[in-house]
Order: sequence, then C-alpha cells, then structure tokens
Amino acid sequence: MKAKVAMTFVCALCLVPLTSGCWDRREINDIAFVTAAAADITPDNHYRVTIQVPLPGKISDVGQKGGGGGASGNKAYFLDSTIGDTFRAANAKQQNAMSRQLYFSHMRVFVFGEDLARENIASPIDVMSRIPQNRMTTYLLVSSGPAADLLNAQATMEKTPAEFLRELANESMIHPRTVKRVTEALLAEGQDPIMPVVSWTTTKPGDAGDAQTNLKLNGLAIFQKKKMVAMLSGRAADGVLWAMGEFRRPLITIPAQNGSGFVSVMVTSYHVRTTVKPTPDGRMVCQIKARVTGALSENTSNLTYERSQNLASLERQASQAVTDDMRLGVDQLQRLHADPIGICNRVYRNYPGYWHHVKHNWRDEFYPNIPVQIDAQVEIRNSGNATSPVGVPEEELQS
Amino acid sequence: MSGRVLIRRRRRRPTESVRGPEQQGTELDASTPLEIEGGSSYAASCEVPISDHLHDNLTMMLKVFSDCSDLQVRHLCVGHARDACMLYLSGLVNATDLSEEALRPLIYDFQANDEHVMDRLSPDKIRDEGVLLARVGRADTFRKAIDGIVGGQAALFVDGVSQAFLLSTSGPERRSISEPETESVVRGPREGFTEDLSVNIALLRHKIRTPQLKAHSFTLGTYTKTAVLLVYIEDLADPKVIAEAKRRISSIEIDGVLESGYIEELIEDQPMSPFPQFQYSERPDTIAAQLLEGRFAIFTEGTPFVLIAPVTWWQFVQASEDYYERFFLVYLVRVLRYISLFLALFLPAMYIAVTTYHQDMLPTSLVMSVAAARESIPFPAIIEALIMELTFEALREAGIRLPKAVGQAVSILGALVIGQAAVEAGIVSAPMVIIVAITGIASFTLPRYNAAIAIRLLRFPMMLLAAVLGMFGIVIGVMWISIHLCKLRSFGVPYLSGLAPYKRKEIKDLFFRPPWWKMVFRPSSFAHHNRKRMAERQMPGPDKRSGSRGGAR
Repeated sequence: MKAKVAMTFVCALCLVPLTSGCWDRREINDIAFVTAAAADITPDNHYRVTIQVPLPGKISDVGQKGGGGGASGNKAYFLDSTIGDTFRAANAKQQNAMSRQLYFSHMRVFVFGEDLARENIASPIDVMSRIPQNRMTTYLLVSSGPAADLLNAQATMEKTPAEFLRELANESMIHPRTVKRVTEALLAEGQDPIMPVVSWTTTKPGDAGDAQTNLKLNGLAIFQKKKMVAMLSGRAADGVLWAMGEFRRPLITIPAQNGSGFVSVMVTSYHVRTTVKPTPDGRMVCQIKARVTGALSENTSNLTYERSQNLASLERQASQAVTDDMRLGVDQLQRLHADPIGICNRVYRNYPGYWHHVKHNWRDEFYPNIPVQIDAQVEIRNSGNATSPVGVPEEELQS
Repeated sequence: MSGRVLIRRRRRRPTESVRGPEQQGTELDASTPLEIEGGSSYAASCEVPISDHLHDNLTMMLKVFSDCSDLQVRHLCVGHARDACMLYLSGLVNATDLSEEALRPLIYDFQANDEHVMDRLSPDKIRDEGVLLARVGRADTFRKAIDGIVGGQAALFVDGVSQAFLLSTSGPERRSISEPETESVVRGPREGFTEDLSVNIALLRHKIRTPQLKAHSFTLGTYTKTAVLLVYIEDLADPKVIAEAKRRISSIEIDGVLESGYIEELIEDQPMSPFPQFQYSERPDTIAAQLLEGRFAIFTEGTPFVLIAPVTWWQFVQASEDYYERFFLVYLVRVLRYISLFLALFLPAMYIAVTTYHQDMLPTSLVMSVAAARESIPFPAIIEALIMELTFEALREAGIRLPKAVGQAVSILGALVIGQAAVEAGIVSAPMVIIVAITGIASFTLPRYNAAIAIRLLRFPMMLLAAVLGMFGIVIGVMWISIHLCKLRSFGVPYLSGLAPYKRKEIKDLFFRPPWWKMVFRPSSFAHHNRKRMAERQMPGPDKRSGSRGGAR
C-alpha cells in the first residue's frame, strides 16, 4: 500500500516538468543573432538603430549540403535600420519585420554615431548594462559620421563587417573599451570614458582593380562623461594612448641624428606609471613616467648602432619623441577639459580630503591647471639581426 | 511428510531466515511440480536411510532415476564374493578413471583374502583398500547418494553395507583457461576464469597462497544445485560484512542459479538503483587484488564471472592494469576516464540545453556553425538527439550479438546511414552526429561494462531534463545523481567512500593512482582493522650514503 502511494507520487512528480511546457525553449535556427549594432540620432531626437544579423546559411560552409537556409542575395548578412523613441522601441519595431527572434547575446560590437556621441552615450549603455542578454564585454566604438554606414562596408577580409569591427576594436588598445570599462569610467569620480574612432575608407588598389570600401581605426573619441567633445587623431591620439599605457604595439620612428635617414624602434614592452603628489604650496602635481624597452627594427641612415655612442643618443632621441607625443596628447586633453587618463580619479582616491575641496569645479578649474611632468625613458636592448645598415659601403658608415 | 503442510507453513512465515541449504531444498522440493506429476519418488526418497539390501536400494534408485536414459548401472562382484552395483550418469564421470581406479581393485584385489571378505567387509575397508581414487565420500541416505550422482559422482552400493560410496573422478572436459575477452590488458596476466568452479578457485589459490583465504560453500537452486563460494581473506575482510554476506546468500531460495547475475540481484543493497553494487570480473588478478583490499568475492559454478563486494564507485573507473603500468601513464588515463565519464553522461544533454536555451554560452563563430547546420533540420534538438542516440544504442546492441561477419555489415550500415546519409538528407545535423560519436567513444572508455550501462541509461533522463528545463534541468539531474550516489551503500560501505565521507589520505587513489611506494595503507572502508599493506618509506633510489651512485661505477 505504502509502495503504491509512493509510486503514484513519483509518477505525479515525473509529470511536473512536462507541465512547464518548455516556454523558454527556442531552437537555434529560430534566432536572429545580432552581431553588431549601431545607434545614430535623428535630427528630431529619435534613435536610429541599425542591426546586423549574419545569415547562418551564408556565413558558414556547414549545412550547405543539407539545403542551407533561406538566405538569398549575395551578402552574408542582413542589415536593418529602424527609428524609434528608445533603443528598445526601435528593436521592437525591427522584431515585427523579422521571422526570427532577435538575440543580442552575441552582439560583439556597438557603434555610436558621431552625432549621438556628441549628444549622449549614456542611454544606449543603460540598455546594455540593464539586460543580461547584452554583454558587458561588447566593444564600443564611435564612428566618424553616421554609424549605420559602417555596418555596410564591404570589409572583405572578414565574412561580415561586424567581425571586422570586432577585430579592429580588439586591436585598438591594450584593454579595448568594452561596455564594462566605459560604464566604469562613466560612474567613476574624476574620470572620463574614451573610445576608439572608426571611419569608412576605400582601398587604393591603383589601376589594378576596383576600390573597395573598408574600415579603419582613426584616432580617439574624447568624452566629458557622456558627451563627446572631440576626436583626436595622429600624434595627439598616440600621445593619449601612450599616457594611458594603452598603446598597442607602438613604433617610434625618428630621423637619424645626422639627417641621413630614419630609424624605427619597435617597442617590445613598456610600462607607464601615473602618480599625483601634493606640492608644499598646496597644489597637486601629476607625474607620468614611461619605461619603454624596444629593439631597432629599421635603419635607413648610414649610422651604425653597434658598440657606439649612437645607440645612447638614439635612446635619448626616442625618449624625447615619446615624451613629445605624450606632452601633445596630455596638453590636448587638458585643453578639452577631459580626463580619460584618470589623473583626477587618482587625486580622489589618494587624497580624498583634497578632492573634496576641488571637486565642485574640478573639470573647469582644477584639472586644466594641474602641472603634468612627463618622463619617458626608452631603452634599446638590441639592434636586430643586422649589425650595420645593409647596402651602405663600409667607408660611409659612421659609428 | 506432506507437501501441502509445508506450503502452508512457508506462507505463514515467508521471511524465515538463516537455514541450511539442504533444509531449504527439502521444503522447496515438496512444493515443486514434482509433487504434482505424482512421481514423488525423489521427494519421498529424501531422508530415507540406505538399507543393507542391495536389491532394495537398486529398486529405489531406479525408481528415482526412472526415464533417465543416461544413468549407467554397472553390476559387479566385490572380490568375487559380494554383489555390488555402481551407478553414475554417463558424461559426468570419467569412465577410464572409474574402471582403473575403482572397478579393477574392487573386483580383483579383494580376491587375495577372499575368505575374510564376507566377514570383514566393512565400509572403511572398502574405502581404504578397494578404491584408489582421492576423493571418496559416503552417503547414508538416498538423498545424499542421489545428489552425489547428479553432481557428477559415481555411487557404489554394496550388498550388506547400509551406505553408498560416492566416487569422484576427474569429470568431463570443460573449456580450457583462456584470456578473458571482456577485460583484456596490454600488461598483466592473461589467464581468465572458466566455467569450472574448482578451476576458478584453484586459479585464485595460485595467486594467494595462504590458508587464510577462506572459501565458504553454499548450494543454491533447487534444481541446479549450483555451488557458490564466498571467498575472503580472514584477516582482511570485515567479519561483520562477511556475516552479512553469508546471511544474504543463504536466504536465497530459487529454483536455479545459472549466472552470478542471479545472486547479484538477489542480495544487493539497493535493487532500484541504476548503479551497480557489485563489480564482476573474470580475471583472477583483479579478484586477488580486491580480496587483498578486504573485500569478498562470490564464485558461482558455471560462470567465469566472479562478483566482488563491497564496492565503491571509484572501482568502476579503475582497470586492473592501472596497478601494473607505471603511475605516470595511469595519472593521464584516469583523468581521461573521468573526462569521458562526464562527456558520456552530460554531453548530449549539454548540447540540447545549449542549442535550445543557452545560445549565449557558445562562442559566436561556433553558434553560427551550429545554426547553419541546423538550418534545414525539421526536428527540435531533443528529437534529433533521441533519434541519433537510440539508433546508436540499437547499432551497438546489434553489434554485440551478431556473428562477427555480419557485425561488419552492421557497422558499415551504421556508418553510412547515420554518419552520412542522415546528415545529407537533412534529418539530423552534423554537430549532432559528432556529439553522439564523442558520447559513444567516451562511454567505451569506462573499463567496467556494468558501470558504463548505468551511465548509458542515465544519459536519457538527463537529455529529457535538458530539453525541458535547459541547464537548470541538468543541474537538477546532477543533484539527483549526487544525492543518490551519496546515499548508496554496498554492504554498509558508502558508495563514494573517500570523497563522501571524505578521507584525505585515500582520495589520491580515486582520481590518480599514486606510485606503489605511496600506497602503504589499504582503503579504510574495507579492511579497517588491518590496514597496513606494506612497509613505509620504500621510495626507491640509489644508496646515497655509499660513495658510488648506486650499482655500477
């Protein structure tokens, strides 16, 4: 009798999972994987959201034999752009025109249009940090011009522009800017976010073939909290990256001291240390020290750097070049009243009492006036496999 | 003695325990179909003493063995003076032995002092002088004589002697000792048990040469009268466990025992568990190793498979070769087995959960490949998985039983139909085929077949749970299995002994195999009163005190 009751109970228990009805079940082929999204702002303050959905049947060689998906056309992805009051409202509209469920877990890149970035980046980031389907590891980029265009570049090196953008973002800094990092910077006291800028470009194959549209990293977007204030490029952008210690695979190219050519130093490792210190007269001084180790990677001059004074002077020159870049970058940042390096954040952390006095107007008064001492030391460990420049007669060499 | 009375008595007291095997036999006999057929001579003969009239005895025996055409009756005259008769079943005895060692001395050698034959013919004399065989037993009831005959002995009835002599000969030819097919090794002994119990126990005696190796005998099965031995080493096995094992074995009442599996299912602790609570092996070295750790073994006549208990789960992940090969290799192999175990149990479930609920858990490029492969598949992942897994199980089952030549055809069919055609026809996706293949291979790496079956079985509920509840379902399944395993006992020994309850010093032999010089103690779960197996500090190396670096200069 007891066993019978127990069996009935067990049978009833076995039925429980069936009653749940698998509501959350969604087969992998009923999902539209959004791999990249772009947000722009329209003149009437609406969001224009563009999403890129790769077509599995096109993008992967797998399953072609089995008949493939219903993908048609020659692109491996589907692009849709919709206007809505909010980011999610636009998504909802897009969903209405889609046979598959939008799925954001695999969104690897998010691009802000230039206009939107100048307006406000905080609200799209709110969506991304609020919904668990979105990942804190999504890379953030700013486009120069409308962001929607970037997602339509040919970018033939990868299967989709999304993948191309992701790799670009990954290469942009040592610690690429993700939702997590940008959110942290937005929330931190005395710190501003920064993002790489990507722009549309065309390849120049010469007369050989048709030009193709491509994407390239093009400097840095400098923010004051949620508003972009400027885009830096060239040496100033390099200088900011140096000062942040985020420069990925830097190359220092400097003219040889006798003007006979150029010398490139490939940086193998470096370390940047930023400190703030109070001076005896009650002000704050910032010190940025860079210790750079590199190797000679190219020499088009007639100088040899083997066992000679030339190496020491090259090191001095290189150190000066790095210092100059950093100086340029930091000056720009101070002029823009933006602090992505986090100098003020260091004051806040190390001298909270002091920060309390200056924080009411730190951006416009305190930060631009901090003296920043920059000190870069480049050490060249070796001169590569060749000892003297190739093709220069021995009598012309200067050691 | 009426059978009906006995039946009623048994019903009234169904759980009547510890009884001698013979007594049980008697009771069961009375209630078995023999009674219904009316040919009750066997049952009736049971406790009837053998009389000293040869004629009466023969009549009785022939009645019992009526219609047994293989019964041989050999009349003879002991010392040309006294009538005697030898009965045996042809085929069960060695006729040459019988004639050389028993008939010849009985007929001819007794002639020498025939004047005394009549007066001094005592049972002892016949046994001592008349028969040259090593094993001669005596029966004073028909019951014993009959059991002797069906057990392969020859019964000798002599006129004027109220006893029967049971003569044992070498018996018929059985399968010779060969390499065990289910547990082959690269390194290790190649002999395996056979169907002959005496050979089997001898094989074990060759390994463990001590009188402390005990073999307690039982006879199970009313009709089969299968000899069963409970084997253990006296100082090592826990006496309480042995007592419990004896109690459980002797309480078995069954008409026949044809394989050790009968015993296993009748005495295990938790019959409703999918996990095996006995290990079986046909390797004498495996059995010897287990006995040396304080376990006991159950040998069954007629099968090469010997049961071992108490067991822990870890034994099923260990092969005998683990202890013969150097330990570095075994480290790797054990880790591999645990990974395989995990894969065999969870991989299809994980695949289902990930592709139907947690697409975010896969890397983007992988999710694209899987999505592309599934693009044209008409079934949900669970149906796809069930189709593939069931086909695979069917193929495996077919492959086991078929003759080798046909087996090849099955594997070709399987490889072609499942591996290729199903994918090309768009019925199942290629990733699913890979998952099933990995699962199959992983389940083959488990060295014990009965443990592999448990894993094979549990894979299906895991798949269903994953299909219904996703990762949560898998977690529920894992919890259920873990709780069950923690609760499971084999003869009082926790199934996960070492891990739960945790024993710091023993955990090393669960996941890895320590070098022999580190395994000083036996596992505490079995031989708890006598744990030291070897001297400590035996890590070898050249003698550092002497000047030379060991051996040659």
